[in-house]
Amino acid sequence: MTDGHPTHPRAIRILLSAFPAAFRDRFGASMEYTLRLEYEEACRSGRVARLWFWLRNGASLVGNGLLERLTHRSIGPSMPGNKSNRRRKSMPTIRDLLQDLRYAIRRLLRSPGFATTSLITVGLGIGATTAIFSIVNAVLLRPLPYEQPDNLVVVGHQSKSGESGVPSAGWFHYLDRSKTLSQFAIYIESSTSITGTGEPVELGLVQATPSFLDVLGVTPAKGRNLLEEDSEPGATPVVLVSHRYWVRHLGSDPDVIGKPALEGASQLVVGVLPEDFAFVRPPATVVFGNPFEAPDLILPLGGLDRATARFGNFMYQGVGRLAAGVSPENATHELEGLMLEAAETYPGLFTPDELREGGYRPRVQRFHDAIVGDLAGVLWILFGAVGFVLLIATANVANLFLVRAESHRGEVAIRRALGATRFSLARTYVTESVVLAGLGGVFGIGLAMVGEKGLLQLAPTEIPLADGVGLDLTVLFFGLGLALLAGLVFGVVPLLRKGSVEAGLQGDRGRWGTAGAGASRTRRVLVVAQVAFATILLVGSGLLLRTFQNLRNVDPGFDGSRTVTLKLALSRSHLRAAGHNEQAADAARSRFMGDLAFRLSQIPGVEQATYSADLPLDGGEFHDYIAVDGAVPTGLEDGTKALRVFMGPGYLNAIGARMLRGRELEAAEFTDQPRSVVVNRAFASANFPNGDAIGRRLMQWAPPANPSADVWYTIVGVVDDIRETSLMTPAEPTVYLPTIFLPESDFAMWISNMIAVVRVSGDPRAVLPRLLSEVRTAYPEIPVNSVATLDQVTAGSFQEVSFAMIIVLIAALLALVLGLVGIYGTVSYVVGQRRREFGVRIALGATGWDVRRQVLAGATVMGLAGVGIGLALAGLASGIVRSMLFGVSAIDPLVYAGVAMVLFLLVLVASLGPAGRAAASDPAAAMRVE
Amino acid sequence: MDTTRSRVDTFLPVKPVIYHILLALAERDAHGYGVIQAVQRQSSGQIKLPTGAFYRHLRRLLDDGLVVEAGPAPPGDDPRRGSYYRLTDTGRKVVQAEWRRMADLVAASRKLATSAHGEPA
Repeated sequence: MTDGHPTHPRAIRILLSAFPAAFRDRFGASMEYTLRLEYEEACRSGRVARLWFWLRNGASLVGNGLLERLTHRSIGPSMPGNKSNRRRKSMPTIRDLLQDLRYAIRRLLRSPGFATTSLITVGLGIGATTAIFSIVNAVLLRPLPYEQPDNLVVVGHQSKSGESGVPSAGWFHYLDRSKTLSQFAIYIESSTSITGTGEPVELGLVQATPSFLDVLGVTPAKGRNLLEEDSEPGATPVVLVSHRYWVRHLGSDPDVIGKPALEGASQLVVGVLPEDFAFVRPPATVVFGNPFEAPDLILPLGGLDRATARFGNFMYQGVGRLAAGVSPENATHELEGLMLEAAETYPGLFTPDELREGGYRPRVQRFHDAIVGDLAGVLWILFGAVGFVLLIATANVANLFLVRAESHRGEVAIRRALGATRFSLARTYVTESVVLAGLGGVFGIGLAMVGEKGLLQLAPTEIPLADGVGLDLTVLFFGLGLALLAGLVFGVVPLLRKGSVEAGLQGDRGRWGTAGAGASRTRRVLVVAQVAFATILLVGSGLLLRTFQNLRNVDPGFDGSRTVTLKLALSRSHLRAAGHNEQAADAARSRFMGDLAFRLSQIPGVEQATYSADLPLDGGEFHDYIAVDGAVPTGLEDGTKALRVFMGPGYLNAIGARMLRGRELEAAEFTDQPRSVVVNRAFASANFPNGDAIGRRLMQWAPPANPSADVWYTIVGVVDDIRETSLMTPAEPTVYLPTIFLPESDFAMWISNMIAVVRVSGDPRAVLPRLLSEVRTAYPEIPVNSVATLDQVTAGSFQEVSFAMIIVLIAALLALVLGLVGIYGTVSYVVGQRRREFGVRIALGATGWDVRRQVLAGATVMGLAGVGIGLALAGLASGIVRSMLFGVSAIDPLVYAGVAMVLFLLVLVASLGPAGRAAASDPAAAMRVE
Repeated sequence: MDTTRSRVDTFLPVKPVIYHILLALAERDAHGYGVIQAVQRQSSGQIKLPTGAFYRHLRRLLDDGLVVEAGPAPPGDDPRRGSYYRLTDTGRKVVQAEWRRMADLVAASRKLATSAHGEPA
């Protein structure tokens, strides 16, 4: 990358600025020259070398520069006698350090107020950062518990109706032909219960192709893996058992291999899984039964037969390994071609055209990405937010240290006079700050451990990999490392200030007037920075708060609190197996679902049971062109684009939608005639602005279909707008039709999406298990994809926002409190320093209000600067959160103005106390001192 | 004479990195980048001095009078290279003293090794 060259001199100069100016005058030019040559050399050796160049030189320049500042302020040839002195200086002995430590602790104990305040402040900052880091660490950074997790991928498909798995024919074909996948296995999860001597036990089952464990890189602790011949017809049934199962149900029998997995069972145990095998995986698209943590039994996946395989029924989970140097995108691209081939090689369910129409595409994702999903972005934003809190906390404590350094000038002078070197003095102070920060770090890590449990409860229902959240070495080192860094910062900041240590030599000259102008400036800069950071966080939480409010206020048009949904993966073969062996699949489908609904409606607690092909706010929409009443469409522009929702009888009532006019469809209308539909308010007002929609007619019209088909539907009801696609966008014109009218070509989309919709009278969760067991008993061969209340299905829309909002809000409040403490402290200190000046002014005739105004004006300047800088930075950074916002602009004037007002007022309030004290300065006392 | 001797002794033992720098300058006068490269060559690639650290070492060597700035750079030299540096007389003595010290160490070690071998098992 040659474009690196123009930018590097600046970067190098910035790094060089770590050195004192005198040093730079002397060596700067030749250092720059050297670095440039090295950089060019690194560029020639490639990207790694370039990165290494920056890492190495960044650390070396900053580290040596700071050391140089600390140890050698004035440059010049030294006297020979100084030599031994300096040597000792650069190499403090362990004894020196221990002495520093003792001294630091003694000093801290002597000022408990200072120590406690600093400790709590640092602790809060480190605690917040560490808590979020422990989540980031577990979810994003820690590698999955598999061998080479980076090339482990999930293979599946996606279509207009959402995500799905892999058909068995797909497995055969991809395994045969793919060059981008070096290994590929499919499996399906299910669960079963066994009744032994006591309570029935729920067991997790995985049925998988032989290479399943090889792909994951797991070797059985005992016995062998599954083999090809295990899945052949007529083979001895075998099973791999988990360590847990082996202990609980097989009595940890060391000679278990070859024995039955259960008393009287035909399956023989051929292997025991390692104890640490945790089946960490992306959520399954198809689960028979209840999802489980880790499987107890792994069985060969039987019934796969090349001769009868048909490409369709995407019910298996796919897991594979990428070949060396292949990206998931490469693999997806390759599989796209193979998918269409597979549909031709294994015909019967889908033609390649149908796949294209249904929007089917293979999807290869790294395992980790598939598990974490969109959460990564949110977590990084939150991590950034708490990072700001830590910055503020550090600035705050640095400020306290500055104040202290000021008040210790006398002591410094004495120690200098007694022969202490500049370096040993600096070491003393840095030891003190590091000790304090270390204690703060321990306190903070403790806070984090307590706090993160609460955080996880606030989180959206499932944070993947959250089990791993907790204190481990990485988190510990992170927390303590931060503490050390913070300690160095607030130990070194007061020292870096020009003449900080030297100043002591001149003794307490700050008796009168504005002592230590330099110190005071540094302190003001720190306060302005704190206010700015707090502003950024408050703006962020304000924006998220408004987003949350907006989402809450959106009327979804339905009430899902008492509605339960079961998604079934229904295929033609299932229909046939269920005895609906008709030519017309649409009729079979509707009849099948009608039967199922009837069964479910018999369960106690169920008010109403029906079905549909789609749910609101659940992805997967069917759009179509519609022509209304009489007008025979001649071109695209005559049609209205509308959403179509295919439903069973009573669906609108079951999801708690509100009918505005007319009525819902009756059971009798769920046959070919008389073709009745319901439309939503948006459809009615768009197409019939001047009249009642009831009784008018519409036609499904998919160009370039022949309009002469002339199939008209009569509108019998208008339902209030239901948010089908997203809470964030207004309802589109929508037509609600009986599933019987689902065109045959939509079958592809439909098969993996058949939903039983059940309205219950009491708590939906109480009825759920009974619904599930009814489906499983009646249709054991049909996979239930998911079971959830309608509220759960739709809640995903704002859970992420609310989680982020709460954490950013906590961060913002911490920032606010710390920032205010900082302002209060600084203003108090300044007032204390200038007390005599104020006293004299009052003696000369100034009123208390004059003095008060002067103090407040000072605070106002700091507040305004901080708020201004913060708003500007927030505006610049607003792009980061934009994707999470709804109904509010990332630079929403209301939020920005509100935050500015609130912060500004709080700055004033924090300064009122000190201002009052300034006004009460006693002129007599001031004069007496003189 | 005696004072020079004792002054040289205060620098012993010399850190390996510093010794390499002094050796490089003993060979020929060089500018900063040249020294860094020479050190890398001498140590067969073992020691790659980061620029920041090198110039601090150099500053100390200059302050201690082991190294001085050499005269004007050769004509036609890139002026950005900066000054050329030269080992002082003291610097040279320090190198010699350190060399002797290490040679003594090696001799002592060798003696120990031979005597250990010589002992009956």
